Amino acid sequence: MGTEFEVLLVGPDRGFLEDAAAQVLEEPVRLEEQLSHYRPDSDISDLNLRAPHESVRLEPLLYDLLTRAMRLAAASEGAFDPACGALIRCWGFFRGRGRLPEADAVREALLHTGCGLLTLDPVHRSVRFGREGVQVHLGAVGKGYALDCMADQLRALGVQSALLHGGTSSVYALGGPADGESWEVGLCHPDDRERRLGVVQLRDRALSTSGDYEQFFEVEGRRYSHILDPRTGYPAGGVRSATVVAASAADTDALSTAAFVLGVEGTRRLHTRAPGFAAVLIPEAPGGGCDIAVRIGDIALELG
Amino acid sequence: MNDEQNVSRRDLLRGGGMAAALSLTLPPSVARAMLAAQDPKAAAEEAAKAARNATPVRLAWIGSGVQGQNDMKQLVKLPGVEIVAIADIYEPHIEAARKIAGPNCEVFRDYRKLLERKDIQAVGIATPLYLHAPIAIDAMNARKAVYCEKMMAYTVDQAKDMVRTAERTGALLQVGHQRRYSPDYHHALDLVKKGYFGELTHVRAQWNRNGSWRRAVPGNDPKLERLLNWRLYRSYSRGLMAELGSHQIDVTNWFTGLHPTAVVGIGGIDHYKDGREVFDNVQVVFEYPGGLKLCYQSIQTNAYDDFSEQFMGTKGTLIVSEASGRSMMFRESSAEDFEFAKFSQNKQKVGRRTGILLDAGATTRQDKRERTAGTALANSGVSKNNWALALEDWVDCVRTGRKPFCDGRIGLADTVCVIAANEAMERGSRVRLTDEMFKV
Ligand SMILES: NC(=O)c1ccc[n+]([C@@H]2O[C@H](COP(=O)([O-])OP(=O)(O)OC[C@H]3O[C@@H](n4cnc5c(N)ncnc54)[C@H](O)[C@@H]3O)[C@@H](O)[C@H]2O)c1
Repeated sequence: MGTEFEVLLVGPDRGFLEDAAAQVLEEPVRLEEQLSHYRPDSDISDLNLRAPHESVRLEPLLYDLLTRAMRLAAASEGAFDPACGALIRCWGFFRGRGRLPEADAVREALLHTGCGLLTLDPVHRSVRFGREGVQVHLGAVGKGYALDCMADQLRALGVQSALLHGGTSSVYALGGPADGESWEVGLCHPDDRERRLGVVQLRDRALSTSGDYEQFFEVEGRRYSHILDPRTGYPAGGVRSATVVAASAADTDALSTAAFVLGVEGTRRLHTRAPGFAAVLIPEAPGGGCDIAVRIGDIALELG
Repeated sequence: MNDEQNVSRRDLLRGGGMAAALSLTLPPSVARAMLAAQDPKAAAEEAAKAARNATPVRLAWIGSGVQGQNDMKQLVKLPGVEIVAIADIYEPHIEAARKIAGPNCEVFRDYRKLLERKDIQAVGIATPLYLHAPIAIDAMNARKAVYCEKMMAYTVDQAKDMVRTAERTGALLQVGHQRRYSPDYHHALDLVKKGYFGELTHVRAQWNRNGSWRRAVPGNDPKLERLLNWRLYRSYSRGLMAELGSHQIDVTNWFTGLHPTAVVGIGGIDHYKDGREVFDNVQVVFEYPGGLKLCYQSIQTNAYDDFSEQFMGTKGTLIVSEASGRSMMFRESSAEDFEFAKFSQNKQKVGRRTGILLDAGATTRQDKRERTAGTALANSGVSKNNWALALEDWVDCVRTGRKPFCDGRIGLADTVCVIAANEAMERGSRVRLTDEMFKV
């Protein structure tokens, strides 16, 4: 995942918490071995190498994660899509900072993008790709999924209060802090990461943010975000940042990407279909900059 | 340069080589994975054929903790394989394992009851070390094929008993040194055999971490301490030498084709005085025939070096590691450039030196002086991890009756080395390893 994970644990026994922290921090390392797109021997690389030619059986937990990602893809009308590796590669986001591809290359990549190209066999838990060149990429759920697994482990160990994050863009709040009901998580302003846009209260909830300020490249003064719209093949625009709160970090991770791509109206539609989340979007103002924040669903957000 | 070896490798990797693989040094699962990296389409045809003809294999797993779960995750990816039972005594691990094995898997608290199930052909064992031998011996006596996690056994006598039981019953016994199934390690060994590094005189290996090695115990319940932190107590564990060092001693034994004749060492409980009974830092030197030395270290206060094995020869240095992308080779300045030149596409700067990154997928191609696949392949390397390949090969053995590559005798030699190293550190003296010790 190439992501830094951090955990903050609260409790009376420091030694126990240190052991617990070290133990749960092994979880993202283990998942990286399974989900990585860089490691040739990860389950995902194995799938991408073989599934164009044969049915590849997945380990059940990975099969479940993939089917869950596919359900989110369906709910978001393809704004989030786990079968988007070809597109990511085409834009040079796989290993590099990105490049502007030819329109033909984008069209070609689109032919190899989309969950519709995957055939799943639930009996054998196997996956087959409809053509060569399709690539599953769980980058937009992996981080959140790791946080969910870590939170489960902490609960099983009896930890009642913790805050964990992966690369600061996804956070999980377990219980509340020592001195309050819920954890307060600050949202940064898309134009100035030092500035705080607002504070969200979280208790047993996950939060993820997708923003155009996180990863992007520029060509002739134009900014291309790393978040691609799998339906058009081009970087999504119109939103500066999308923050989603829900019970699971895997969901918020994927849904924040979906909300960023869908924009305000699309996210509202998504919310009527799948109401288990709340969101706040910062649309791009007509002349650039940030427009007024739009809330969707019930979010414990205090602006300013 | 050994042409024969080249020809056989080419035959192996270019279609029709599967049968030949059996007679060669590569385990078939490894040969298949290397073929898949080079020609996924051809490999897929073979795999699809194999999957159609795959006879069902009914497995059970005993000890479903961290490694047991990892092993099971590899097994359930294989066509025809079903994990029909597990045995463990700790509920949270049972629950986690059931998510991997599936709802139909029967759960036993007493492994002996599991072994009574006649339909189970094979069992894997990933319990704490002190239970490996009793369980493996019971399983083989019940005519089950066995995959026993490393280190093979808690005592040398137990390891010998395991080998004898395997030979008497005819049960298959594979030991979990998964590096023996690593395409990168096989590739590296091939280069050693071809003489790229000249005469090997020294080996340096380490597995360094920064952390207590202690598992958090739920609710800090003292009743669970020894069950979860068995590694820290001498009646269940042989400490760092067994848990980490055993892998790397095995690699040295394998690559040199030898086993050591003496060992000295110093260890201590110096940093984590938490009631543990095993050393929290170990450093030992093994002497091999011909004067080769293996310097081994495992510490828990600094992770800079993490884990690798460094083979030092008169012409060059080979670093192998299970960590992806860390295997490298370096030329001694006095050695000719020629042998290394053909790997030039994999050059990488490491500090002031230029190293060559080893990758069984890519460098094998270059070794044969062929064009690299370039960017067409997502990854040049092999797409399966070493545990997956080790277990795939074990299942192959269960199906065909073929003897495992990493067998009980390999596990025994490794056990002898680890126990002797611990003894050297405890007694503070030089311990001799006689040929007798390695004999069954
Ligand atoms: N090959 C590798 O790379 C590798 C990696 C890690 C561990 N291992 C080996 O795997 C083994 C297990 O290590 P781990 O980290 O999984 O330990 P663990 O403590 O997580 O798991 C051991 C499991 O055995 C169970 N157990 C204990 N007594 C039992 C009994 N009487 N019957 C059935 N089950 C019992 C425990 O409840 C636990 O679930 C060790 O021998 C270790 O050296 C190998």
